[in-house]
Amino acid sequence: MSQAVTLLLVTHPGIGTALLAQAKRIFAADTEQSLNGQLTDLYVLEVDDDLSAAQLDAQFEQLTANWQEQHNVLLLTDLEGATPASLALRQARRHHWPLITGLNLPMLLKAINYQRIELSELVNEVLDSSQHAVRILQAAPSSRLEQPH
Amino acid sequence: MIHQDIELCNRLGLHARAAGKLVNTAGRYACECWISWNNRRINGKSIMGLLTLAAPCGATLSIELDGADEQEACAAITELINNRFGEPE
Repeated sequence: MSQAVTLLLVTHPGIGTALLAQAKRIFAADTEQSLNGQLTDLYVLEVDDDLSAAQLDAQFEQLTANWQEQHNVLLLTDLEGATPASLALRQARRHHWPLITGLNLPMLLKAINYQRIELSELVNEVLDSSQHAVRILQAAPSSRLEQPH
Repeated sequence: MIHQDIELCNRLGLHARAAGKLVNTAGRYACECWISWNNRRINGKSIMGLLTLAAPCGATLSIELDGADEQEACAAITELINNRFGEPE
């Protein structure tokens, strides 16, 4: 089994911590046997978009200062094109870390579940799982679709 | 290989926290773990697989374990489910 991949959530305020709190609850992180010790190497950076790009970069680099030689890092962000994703993309390019956008709870659960597989495999697993988690569980009534505007 | 059928007896069935505990338990063992219900068969070590089963209280899960520690895994999983995942009655 590989070393755990470090997961960093780069999100709008409130989103990363809320998702992580729920993931910890689901994996019973308050118990000693939480996911075989896998609930480690999890970080959240919630981005205040009042700050400049340089200030945000500095915040990011402060958080990851000890990771410079770390190649097993996966960045997850919530909304492509928004400030957190732009920050994550700049840093992902700088450090050659993979970055996935569209962060949701299924994506995070999958990432934690498989945090100890190879990084390239993890990226594929996370992407596949989170995309499959978005689907129609109950379709709209067909009569609504047929109503004239 | 071991094949064991176990009925979910906790009120909420295989909800998120229960699925998390099942993943934790299955993940402690090296053997493969496959769980089937309602014509679906998923990897018992996959949180998303377990959640998409959406198995309710009363559902009988069919559990297959294959590997050197399958007996221990079967005992642990059976105990977890029969103890209602640690939830109250």
